Amino acid sequence: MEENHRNQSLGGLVIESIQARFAKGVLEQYRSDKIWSTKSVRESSLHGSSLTSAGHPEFDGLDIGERAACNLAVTFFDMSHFTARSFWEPLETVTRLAQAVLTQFALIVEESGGFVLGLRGDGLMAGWGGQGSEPEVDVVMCMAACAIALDSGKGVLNDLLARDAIEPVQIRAGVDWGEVNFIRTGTNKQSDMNIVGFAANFAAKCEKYANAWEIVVGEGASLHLDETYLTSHADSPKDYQYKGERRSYSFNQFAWKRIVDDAASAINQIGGRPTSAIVPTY
Amino acid sequence: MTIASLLSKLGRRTPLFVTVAGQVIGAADVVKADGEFRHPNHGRVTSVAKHAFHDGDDPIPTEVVNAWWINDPSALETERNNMALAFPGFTEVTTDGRPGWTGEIDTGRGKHWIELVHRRDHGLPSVEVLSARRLERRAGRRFVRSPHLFTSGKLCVAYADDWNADEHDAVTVVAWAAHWLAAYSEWRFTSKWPSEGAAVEAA
Repeated sequence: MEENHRNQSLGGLVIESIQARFAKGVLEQYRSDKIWSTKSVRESSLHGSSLTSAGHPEFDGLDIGERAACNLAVTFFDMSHFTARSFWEPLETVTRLAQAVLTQFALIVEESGGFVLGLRGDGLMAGWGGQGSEPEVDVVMCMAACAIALDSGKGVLNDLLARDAIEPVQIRAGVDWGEVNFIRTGTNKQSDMNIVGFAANFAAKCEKYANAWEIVVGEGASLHLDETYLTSHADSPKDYQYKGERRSYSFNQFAWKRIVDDAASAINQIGGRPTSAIVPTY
Repeated sequence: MTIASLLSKLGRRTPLFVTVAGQVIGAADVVKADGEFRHPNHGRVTSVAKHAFHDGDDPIPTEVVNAWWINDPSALETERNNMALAFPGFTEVTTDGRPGWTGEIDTGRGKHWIELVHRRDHGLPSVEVLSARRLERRAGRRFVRSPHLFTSGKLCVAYADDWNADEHDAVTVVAWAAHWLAAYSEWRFTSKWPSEGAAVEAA
């Protein structure tokens, strides 16, 4: 286990590292009996009223068809090769693993001042930003969350999974920044908050460009990052053609291992407050 | 390591601005119109000129026959107009026969009363915090002196070379002092000085 995964001891007081908490949380969730208790369709419709859906609190009040714009750092995390895993392994096993890993991803997002915007299968979409937040702060905290998620997975979590004879997971992330629209889409009976905009679409594309244990960052987010942390991706740029016009959009690999220690401290410091609470003084 | 340190390390340098109250903000939503920078919530804001914090002995002024405000009274008049727009809460003072300004900086984490005094040779003006006897933080049973102070205890807001008397005036220095105080507030909370200064400025 690498040094930065270990719990720190300060004057006899053991402080659990964020990576260790992530890994322990995954295993606890994975072993939880709650996931095995399959409910009937009728029972599952009577879910607890205290649960809230994923989304951005500033836009929860939008009615169907209403929309609001926001600059956002957007990330898509997922577990690569999960489709193959779901083909070979029992449904219960992959459900357990997805639940366990995504729950810990969600906790990192929340602790780093972001919002979980959606969950699908083995993936999670999250955003940082809102009224009064600085784009640079949003992007940097998003990168911090991604770095911790990957580091936690690659280090402590896979060590613990191996001890339990569980196949290791492989995690990747895509990130971009830009203006998106929140719009409630659906009918009066069923609706969901949709997030529409190039930044959200390209963050998803970046995730697909990323191999396991990589973070790929779109041009919009890259503009807010020190270029010494970025290396042009082999497939960059992406060309778009429209009505005879051609434009390129670049994307980069992000050197996430270099910020792991700093990211953990920064997440501990922000402690779940939204990024709009941070005043840049650099 | 703190959020500010991570931002300093990972974030791309963007211009900083200071509100009329003295709070440092980033460049988001700041627009330039009619030669001035404005923020939708904060109103007029002042760009922080390039500077770097440092420390050491107080600078020794160069001997001059006449002070710059005697040789060029219009420069002081221009400064009065600029201060009235950028930091209207500040008032003009005279200290030891030298012109200066005093007023409150509200960093958003605390308020500090400062005094800026010009030098006869038109070098970097001195800045002093009047509202605190000592600029320090408690570390266990002892107190630690703030970084980036001159020997005298005055603020070391910039290198002497950062100051350009042909371009800068009291507005520049109050903005640097606001940046210093914002960093000082962070240091008091975290024990880490979050910033080397401002590497870029808004054009």
